[in-house]
Amino acid sequence: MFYVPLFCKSNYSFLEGASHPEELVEHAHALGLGAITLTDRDGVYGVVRAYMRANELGMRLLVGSEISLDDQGTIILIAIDRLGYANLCRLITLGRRRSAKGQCTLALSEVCAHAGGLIALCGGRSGLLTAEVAPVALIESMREAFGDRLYALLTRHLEVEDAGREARLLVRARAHNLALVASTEVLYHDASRRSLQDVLTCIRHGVRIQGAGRLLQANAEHALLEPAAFVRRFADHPGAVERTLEIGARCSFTLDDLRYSYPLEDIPAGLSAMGWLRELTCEGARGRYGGEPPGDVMAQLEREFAIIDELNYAGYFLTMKEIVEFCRAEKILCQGRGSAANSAICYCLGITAVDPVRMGLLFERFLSRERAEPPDIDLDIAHTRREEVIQHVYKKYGRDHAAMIANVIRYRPKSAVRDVGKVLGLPETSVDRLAKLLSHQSCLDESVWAGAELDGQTPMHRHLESLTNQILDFPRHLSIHPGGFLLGFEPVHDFVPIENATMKDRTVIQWDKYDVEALGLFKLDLLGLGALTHLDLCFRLLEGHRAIELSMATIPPDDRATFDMLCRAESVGVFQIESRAQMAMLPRLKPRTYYDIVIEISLVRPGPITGDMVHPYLRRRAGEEEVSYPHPSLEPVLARTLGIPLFQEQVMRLAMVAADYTPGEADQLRRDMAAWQKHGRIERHHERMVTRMVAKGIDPEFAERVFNQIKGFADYGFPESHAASFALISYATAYLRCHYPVEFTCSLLNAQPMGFYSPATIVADAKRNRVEIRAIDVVHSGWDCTLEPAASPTAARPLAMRMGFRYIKGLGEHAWQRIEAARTLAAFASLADLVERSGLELDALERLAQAGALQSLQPDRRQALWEVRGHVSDRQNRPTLGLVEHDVVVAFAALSTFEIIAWDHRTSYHSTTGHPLMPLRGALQAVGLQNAAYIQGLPDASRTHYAGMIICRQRPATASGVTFITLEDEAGFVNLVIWPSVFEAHRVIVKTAAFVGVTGKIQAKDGVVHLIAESLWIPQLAQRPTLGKSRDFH
Amino acid sequence: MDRWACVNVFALPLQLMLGRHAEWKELPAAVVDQDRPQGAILWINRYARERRLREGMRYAEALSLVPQLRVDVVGADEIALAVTTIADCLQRFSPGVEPFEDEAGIFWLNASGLLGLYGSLEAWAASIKQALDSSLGLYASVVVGFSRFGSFAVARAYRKTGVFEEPEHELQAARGVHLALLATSDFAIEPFERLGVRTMGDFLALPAAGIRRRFGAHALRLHRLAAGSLVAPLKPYQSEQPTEQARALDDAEQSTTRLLFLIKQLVHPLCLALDARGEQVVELCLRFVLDHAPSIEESVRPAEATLDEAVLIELVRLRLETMVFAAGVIELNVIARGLRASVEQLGIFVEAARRDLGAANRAFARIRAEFGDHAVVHLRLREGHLPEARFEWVPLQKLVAARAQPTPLRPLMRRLFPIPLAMATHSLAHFDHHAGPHIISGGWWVREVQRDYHFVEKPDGSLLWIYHDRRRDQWFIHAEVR
Repeated sequence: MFYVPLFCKSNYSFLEGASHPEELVEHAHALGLGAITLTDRDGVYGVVRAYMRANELGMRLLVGSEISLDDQGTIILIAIDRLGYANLCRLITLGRRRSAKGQCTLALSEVCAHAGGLIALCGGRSGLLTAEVAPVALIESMREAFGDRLYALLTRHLEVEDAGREARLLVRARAHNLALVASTEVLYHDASRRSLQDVLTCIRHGVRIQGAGRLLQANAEHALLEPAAFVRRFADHPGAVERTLEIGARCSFTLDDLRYSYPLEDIPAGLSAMGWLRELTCEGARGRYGGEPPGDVMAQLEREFAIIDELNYAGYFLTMKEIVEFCRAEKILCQGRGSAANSAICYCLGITAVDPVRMGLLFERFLSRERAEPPDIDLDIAHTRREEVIQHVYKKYGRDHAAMIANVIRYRPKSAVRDVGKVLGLPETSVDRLAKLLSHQSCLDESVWAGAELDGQTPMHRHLESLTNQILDFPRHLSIHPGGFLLGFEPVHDFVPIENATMKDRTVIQWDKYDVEALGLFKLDLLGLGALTHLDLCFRLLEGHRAIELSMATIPPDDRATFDMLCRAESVGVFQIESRAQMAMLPRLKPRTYYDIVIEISLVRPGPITGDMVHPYLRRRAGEEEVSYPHPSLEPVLARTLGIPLFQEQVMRLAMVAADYTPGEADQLRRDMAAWQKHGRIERHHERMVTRMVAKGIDPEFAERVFNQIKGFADYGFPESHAASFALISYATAYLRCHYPVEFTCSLLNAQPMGFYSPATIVADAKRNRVEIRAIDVVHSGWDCTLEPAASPTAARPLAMRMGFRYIKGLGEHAWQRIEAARTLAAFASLADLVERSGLELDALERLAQAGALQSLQPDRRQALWEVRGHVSDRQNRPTLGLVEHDVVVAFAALSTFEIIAWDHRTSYHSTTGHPLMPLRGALQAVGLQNAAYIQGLPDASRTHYAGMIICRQRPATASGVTFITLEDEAGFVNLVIWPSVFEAHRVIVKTAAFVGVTGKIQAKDGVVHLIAESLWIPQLAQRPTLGKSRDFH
Repeated sequence: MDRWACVNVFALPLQLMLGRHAEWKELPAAVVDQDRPQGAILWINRYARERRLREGMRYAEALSLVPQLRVDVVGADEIALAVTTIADCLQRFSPGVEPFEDEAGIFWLNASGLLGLYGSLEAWAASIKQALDSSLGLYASVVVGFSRFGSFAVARAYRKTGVFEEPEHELQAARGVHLALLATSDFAIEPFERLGVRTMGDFLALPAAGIRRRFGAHALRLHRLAAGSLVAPLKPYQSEQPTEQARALDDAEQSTTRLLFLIKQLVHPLCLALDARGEQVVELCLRFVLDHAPSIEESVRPAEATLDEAVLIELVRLRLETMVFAAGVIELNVIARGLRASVEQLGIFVEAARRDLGAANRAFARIRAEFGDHAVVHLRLREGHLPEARFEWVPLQKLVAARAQPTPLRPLMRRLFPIPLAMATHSLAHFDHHAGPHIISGGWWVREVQRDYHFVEKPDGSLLWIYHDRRRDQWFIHAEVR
């Protein structure tokens, strides 16, 4: 070890450092250095990654930070021991919490107050000891606080200003008896990153490179130096070089010293956490199984107890139980998902709703002795009420013991090309073209230049390409994880600094979930789920209007009518299985059991699709192909999925059984499948897996297919436990849709925005399902959609649904409150009365009139518009002397049905009158265009013409450029398939038209009908239908 | 005024853009408010419309649909200039021309009393259309009617040139015009469209009192104008007299003295014209058309705005003395640029400065006049790393009072050579003492520079600041150290 770099900033000094922490560590290792210090600006964001890599390489990592001081430059602090690290975190927390997001303000006195266990390096470009004016008192106060742990930092970057700074430093170091230590300010691991560092500087300052001037570094001397070069640079101060080693030796702190313990819940006297967990679990088990649990369940529970006790995780389970209890008490619908569904304890505690013993789920996916890492329980919460739960956690544990986990926003191809292009001063339109061609996973290369019709070989474009690809994956700024919490028995700010998030009342730690996981810390995931809000609202409606007390637990299982409905692909609004692709799968899969829904959810995923598992599974299920296993040993693993691996757990088990992976290796495989670690790590399993499988007598083709599926999981792996939890919600929503369509639709519309379809499609679907939907009315409607008795006892449904004011575009809730307040006092006698007493502005009144919401007071919408304008004018200009100007009666042209529907869509996203194509059907039929019901009945391979409204466009990455469009008319949906060549020939129509005509061929199989487009055109009609924006997913 | 005409130059900004880019005429093209992805499309030609582009789209969105789309920005100044040019052109056909303030491209003309000159109003209208096309390259329609509103409505709605013979015919045609075509910044048509009021006829069927009560004074004004119950007289446009004088010379002239006297004769009326407008001369632009040689253009600027002809002529004299004419001057052209005179009374209360900035500025003006604008420059500091990038010389427009800032005295000072001097040496070995290197590198985005600077002491004891250019592998002296 020749020296220790003491002042290194990674790219976690956002938009300053130009190397990943891992790169700094790796390069230091390659240079033969035994240790490196990470000193990011006002934070320890990158230390976990650096530490993990350093551990792998057998290097030491010194943890520190460059702290910004109020008007006094910066100071480098390095942790000597655990106390020093805690002080560093506390200090940064102090500076961050009092500042706006992204800022940190600290006084030198505060630094001195937290000096314990810390080494301070003062000097460099912006240190106190090199400033023009010598603040003697401040230097003395530092000397007093840090003692011999304060060093004068001598930096040399071969700049002309070095000499002046150095002269001042040396004088002051002598005067205050400070030891001299040498370092360079490392901003990148290798000088080749200098241009990227310049670009990052420009992004940070919002300037172009051509005008950045002295904001940029003067030269490329900020790379890690080879030991010999470092010694040469400070040859006149050999002691200062040796002192870097002395500091390295003084600092013994490593992240392994973080002894984390979980906060203790309120435990009854005389019981341990484990004892209390056991008691609660057994009590829950008796509830779940209606008495003493079966033997296999007890055995599983005991197995889990043993591991939890051994690993001391009881507190975590008790916390989850407490949160679930809070949700129950507050009537907030919640349900655990993820790998927790593999745990019988979670099931008995009521955290999850899937019985893992009955489902045969793999417990090791959740928790294993060998892995010894904290369990991961994700709790889904009704999305409109999640904030209540978050604030409960803050309140219960306090902001010192609970903080949300960060989410590091990184450069992706689009943002990278935009930011770099801006810095290079390239035309925005060119950069925009490139950005639009880049996908989430791609990089800027020849094909993108060609696609944008730009020359990638001009010097500036070559810079753009190189820098854009270099900056990919660099941290851009810190955001907040959707629901991840870190809880600690000790204050969290002793582990990691806490800072303010942009969102009010939120605080966030400086590590993301991968850092937290890597250190084995416990995190809670409190996630919002719209479907739970939907269910919650629906249960409340059932209770309120029909006195039916239904819950997730009491919904009858295996309901035949529900499965019949799903087999008909009637699943609009059903959680997870409502998309076009899922709908197309339902008639093929023909689900008849809960587990079929689990498979249905898992099947339409990139994993099984890219792994080519879907069609073999369907063929076997339909009896068209024999169920076989590549090796007899795999039958127990694959039996439930007919010999085809579909789930992440199966892949793990398969690796263990077929490729002799140890549980640890299988777990590593799972980790490498995770999306965040895609840097080719999955490839290292290829040879190992395939070779071992072939050696065991498994067909090489099958082995390759399994491996491809694993790669697919890397894009979006779906574990069986996830699917099992989701399937419960899917079944519940399907049951409600089948048996209580009015309540189902009402609650679905009140839970918007969520799901796959627009309100207009939900309303149209409900109407096809014989739900009576009544229009928004100022006399009858509430803010939300409501239920009303049906018009007659013989109606198809006992209840009808009234649309709520929330669906009038641009009408705020405050406007509705004014209406409600006035209406509560007395019913509106007339439009004039409404205008007078509600005090609504003209804009709001016109919106109501256009939407037909004034129909009870004035049935003619145009007349209502004319009248409200007059009344508002009178209200604003009260007639003087009581002189009233009488209006001449004006007659306006009545709105046609077509116009009414168009107005409805323009003003309220939907129409209760009818579908936009309904009034045009006559004209469409006149030119031979039939509705969706007719198309659905056409035989396979027949050629036809059709016209419909586009409600959804999709171009999934797994579909090789094929575009899927869902068309809708008054009779239902038509699924359109557009091959790339047809897309290119009609791209403008495909991308822009809302109402489109198609000529194509029918593909009908297993009750699933697709229209394969040959050409697209705009139907020539006298009137053009109006519809809201389609929902496009790419 | 018994006859009105309305000229509609369709989509004027689009026509201006296509005039600039003749090669785009058969390509999809659009005028955007800014040449950025988020710029909004304001006008499109028919090729763009055929490809389903629409006004209001974002440029990036349009480009993704039609990659061949060509766009440009047409600035407000350019449009205003075009309106002035068109108005000037129209004034050749009628003394009464009123540009529509709300929309560039619409003009009203007084069409009364022109029969004697043109024989018929049809011929008059046709000659206007022809003149706009041939002299300005603009396509327009001309409608001659009996009212401001009627002619306007018809000109907006129909791209035809014609003459109404009877007021009733005009009214009938105007009633059929779609209301959407008459939207202005003062008159939104959406509320009327919602009521099913689509044409001017529908609009006129509404009661005036009801309109005033619900839609306010602007809508009522339009209603009354359309109904003929309100007449708004023409507000004639008055063109600015150019502050320009020209003189064609019978014999080619090369004598600067005689040219100076000729210029003096031209400057006098220019000063009178500017004085009448309350302006003073800030610049005189001189154009000398030479006999069988390219023209020469020069300009002189007084130290401050003035109407003092003697000062102006003196500056012209100084400039002329430096000029050499390759051939005789056959035409002289002098344009005076003016500036509204400022109130100078406040200056009375200002204590006279010891240094006379005015005199200095006058002197600089004389130097500029004699040696050109770049003869008077001052130093401006810049934020760069390279020594030569830390400052630049820029022309001095006006000398202002200096505000000296105390600067710590430097024991040594580098005096840069304007161009670094190449050294014969290839190493530092020739120097007894040296300090360095200090490295300056960068500029990778244009031309990469990498210099290793050293301070060196020559045998005679003098100090130099030299550098090694790594890319050229050569040594240069950049400064003497004093």
